[in-house]
Amino acid sequence: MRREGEIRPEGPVRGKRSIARESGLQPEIVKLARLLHRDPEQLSYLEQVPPGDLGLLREQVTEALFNAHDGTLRRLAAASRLLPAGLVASLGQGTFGPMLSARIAGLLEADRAVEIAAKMPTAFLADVAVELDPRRASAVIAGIPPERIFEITAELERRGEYVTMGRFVGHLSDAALHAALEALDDEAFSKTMFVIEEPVDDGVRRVLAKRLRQH
Amino acid sequence: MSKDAAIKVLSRQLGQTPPPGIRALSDRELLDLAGAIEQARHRQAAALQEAGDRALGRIPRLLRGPVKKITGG
Repeated sequence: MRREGEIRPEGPVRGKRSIARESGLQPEIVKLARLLHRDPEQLSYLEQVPPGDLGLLREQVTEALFNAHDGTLRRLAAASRLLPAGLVASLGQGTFGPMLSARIAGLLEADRAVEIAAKMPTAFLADVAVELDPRRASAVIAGIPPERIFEITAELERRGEYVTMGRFVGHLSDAALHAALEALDDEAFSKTMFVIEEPVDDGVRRVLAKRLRQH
Repeated sequence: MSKDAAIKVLSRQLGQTPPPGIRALSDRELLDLAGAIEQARHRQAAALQEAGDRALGRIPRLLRGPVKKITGG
């Protein structure tokens, strides 16, 4: 686990995120700041907005950004079918980057997206996870093998991305959730539970309750 | 600018009416939020344009025509 105050190697943007992680701001503000690529502290005025409305606002911003270039993104997704999965993975990582890859992921056929993801390095998939709206890519998330979920979760934990992990919990299969929980130590598990995104179904609740009892 | 006018600016960026709790913000804060959404949209458009252009140069020459046909490039 990374120690407090330790310098993060990933660059200035994530450096800012690490400040936000310990800022005490509402998780919804941190999530909104991710979407807008802003430092969460710059949006601290949103603390005045009731939490329920803040959640609705984030959904509206998500919709506005994910729908903003829907036509272009859909055409890119369609064109990618002409290319081998390895090349699409390489283009995703080297040319489109995590934000656009996250936008396109939910527009691909799930099996194809899973095949492409299998060819991407874990660190990049963690980058994509930060940018992804899990509701728009739940079929893709469900298709990622549990062992890969373990690796991505371990990477997100290493980065202190509890908010990101909290967004995904409700979208994991039982097997994937077990794998993800394996990757988390007790402290990371507690921090993730604090920012977990509802709704989660009864199966997920049972798995989480079991882990809580093991504390 | 009045708060109602600032909410209209924000509504335009969102494409819908924001939740009522947003009225707790000042007009300046509302405009900052609207500006952040606009910047994010522009950043996304610029990234998409640049990536599309670069991607075309990385795919096999034979496939460029069919890909361009689909993407409208």
